Amino acid sequence: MKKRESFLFLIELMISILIFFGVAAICLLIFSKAHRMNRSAQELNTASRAEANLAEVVSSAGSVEEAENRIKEVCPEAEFSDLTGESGVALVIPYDSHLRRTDKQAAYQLTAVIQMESEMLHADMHFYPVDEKGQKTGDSVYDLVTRNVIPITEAEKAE
Amino acid sequence: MNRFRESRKSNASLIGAFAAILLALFFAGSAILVLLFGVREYEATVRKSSEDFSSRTLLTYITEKIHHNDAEGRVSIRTVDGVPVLALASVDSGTEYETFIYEYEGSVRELTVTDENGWQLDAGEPILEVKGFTPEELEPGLFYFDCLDSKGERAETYVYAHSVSAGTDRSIR
Repeated sequence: MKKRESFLFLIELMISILIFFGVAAICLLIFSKAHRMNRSAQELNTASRAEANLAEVVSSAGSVEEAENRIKEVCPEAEFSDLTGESGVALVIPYDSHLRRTDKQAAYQLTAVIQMESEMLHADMHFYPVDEKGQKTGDSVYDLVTRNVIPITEAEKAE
Repeated sequence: MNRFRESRKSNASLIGAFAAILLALFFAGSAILVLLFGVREYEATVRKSSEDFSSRTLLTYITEKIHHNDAEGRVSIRTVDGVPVLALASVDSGTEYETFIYEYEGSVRELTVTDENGWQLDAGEPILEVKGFTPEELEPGLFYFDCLDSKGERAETYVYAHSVSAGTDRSIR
């Protein structure tokens, strides 16, 4: 009789432990999903703001060189390189894991290509996660393409 | 012999009670851990949302204000009593209005007046408590705003007012 009671108690205990682990696993899954969603929202927020800011700076410039100089002024972390076989400039702005601009190890990168095409200043921007070697490790978080008409200056108009 | 059996029995019940207490403690500890995870996630979400609501809402508001008033000479940065002020001019029903946005005594304030000289910095309506707010004109037409909110979170934005750009008009090549 006593043996049977202990056996039932053991079964009861095992069932309660199983239920507990099941509920804990569900909770952890939900929290991990919430964490991922929160992180994605932060990434999207940072990417859209950074690209909108860059677009505003580019739109204030009248040429690729002027855009490059203005970006250098407002964002010293930006690294520039020439485009191979095309006119224009490519730039990379590194971001750390806290989604802040950095000049050290990057966890994200904002890349942009600025070109002059048909009297318009094109800017093609992408924000994505990268590994230690700077290789893209995931989908682009946010992409933005802008085209700005260069206004005629008063001097040009007089000519 | 009997005494030995009793002693074994009491030891077994002691171990049983100890195991039950350990299990209960493990359950309680795990429940607290799960709760802490939840609290951390909730706290992060609320903090982010409040951050977005404060400084970024202000910067978006200012951006929209500038774009709305983006006409020749209507957007400028001035200094009033040593405080940099974003000034937005507008005309409504023949009356000229001027809206000023600036930081004074720990708040970003907004003030709309008809007489641009007859006002004091403390007259503005506080719109957000901040630790710092700096409006700057980096280049003709390119404005920079830096906002440090009351929780110490920094947000910055650049706004280009096309009409302010010196020596240009809106003609297309």
